[in-house]
Amino acid sequence: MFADELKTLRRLGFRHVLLQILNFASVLASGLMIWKGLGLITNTESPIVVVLSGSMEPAFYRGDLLFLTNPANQRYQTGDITVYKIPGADIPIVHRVLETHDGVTEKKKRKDLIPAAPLVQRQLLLTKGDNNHIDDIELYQGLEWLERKHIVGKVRGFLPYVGYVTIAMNDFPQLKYALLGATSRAYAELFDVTRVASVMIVVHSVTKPHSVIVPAYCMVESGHQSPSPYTQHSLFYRFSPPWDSCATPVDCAAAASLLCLSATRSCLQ
Amino acid sequence: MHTIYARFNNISAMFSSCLMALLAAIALSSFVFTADPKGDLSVASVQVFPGNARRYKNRDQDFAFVNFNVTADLSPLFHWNTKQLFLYVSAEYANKQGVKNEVVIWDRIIRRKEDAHVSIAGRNKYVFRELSTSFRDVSPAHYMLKYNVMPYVGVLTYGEAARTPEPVPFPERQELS
Repeated sequence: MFADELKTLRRLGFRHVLLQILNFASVLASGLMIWKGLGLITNTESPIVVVLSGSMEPAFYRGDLLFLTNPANQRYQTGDITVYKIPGADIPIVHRVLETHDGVTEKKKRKDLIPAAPLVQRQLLLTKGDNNHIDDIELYQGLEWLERKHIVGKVRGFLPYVGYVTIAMNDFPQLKYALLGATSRAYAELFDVTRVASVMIVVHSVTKPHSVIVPAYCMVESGHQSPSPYTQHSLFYRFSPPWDSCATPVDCAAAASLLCLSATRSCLQ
Repeated sequence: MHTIYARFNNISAMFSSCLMALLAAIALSSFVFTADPKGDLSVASVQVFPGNARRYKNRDQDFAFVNFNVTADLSPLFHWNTKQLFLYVSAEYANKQGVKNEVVIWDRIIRRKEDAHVSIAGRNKYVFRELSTSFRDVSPAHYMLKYNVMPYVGVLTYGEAARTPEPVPFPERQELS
């Protein structure tokens, strides 16, 4: 059955097979790098999100792509569209801020912590979907207000329809294997950077079948919930270098593997 | 090199790059349109009544009822990359504990340029309540008419069309008879 393939494989030699594997691995690694790099710049765990529900219609439909940022030194305002994730709920929600209440600070002061700037003080939020009649308090699973730590980011950019690929892949799992194969072939054959960058996001979402936020697997795998130091300590800002917040073992592994891959590839060629 | 697969691959790569460039150009073009329309917002009356909170039926809470008038011509905001306008009236005030609050009391989605001339005598659509359950000793509130321009593709932009010239104080609570 596979006699012909085996024959060609033997003809091409061990180095060629190795090269193919390396190419494929570097596709995955560079995808991870691009994704985490974006996350580092925008300070969110997931800079690109696919809309899954119709609660923001007619602004956002199912399958639209949203670009998020989460600036640590800016407060959220009414009218901002946020993506939030309630602990215990697995689906992140894209809704608009209806109420903000800033600076509900506790009286107790601790000496070893530096007080936060006014901008990064505790903020309580209430959200509502544009297409819903009522605010989201029922969705908060017992929480009375949304806090900064629940928020993934603020919607800054919009691209229609593109995210439907990921929804289609969840519905038709065969599609993702086809796409994965096509992507690695495309990468191996033409080193077109823009094309690779655009397919990376797709490849990424493939790796986790039930991913809702496109490549949420970085977050799940590394086991860290929020990459920004701000969200962990809403009242007091923990002074730490910016790379500390996002440099998880997964990122380091991805960086190291990318370096190794490119080195090995240049040796083989 | 000249297989069907290679040809298809090249064509699809060309197509997707062109599409990306076109979309980027459209997204960038909306920065050329820098309309900043101004309107008028006035608060006709504010009333405060007691009531029960939605989640806690036994908790007594103040609810504010705001009547306002809005006139604004927002049609300059509609250009070829405007999908819709999200228009909202928001109240901004600080309470006794120093908490700064921003509450949206009314909103409207405008999808066509013809509907962008807004002239409304309205009242709040959403419950207007205070974090500390009472509006007593709360500082006067500024009311603002803001908008969010949502594009077909590109960056979401925000703006303020009007604000009340003077802050409007909250009245004493009226008892329900």
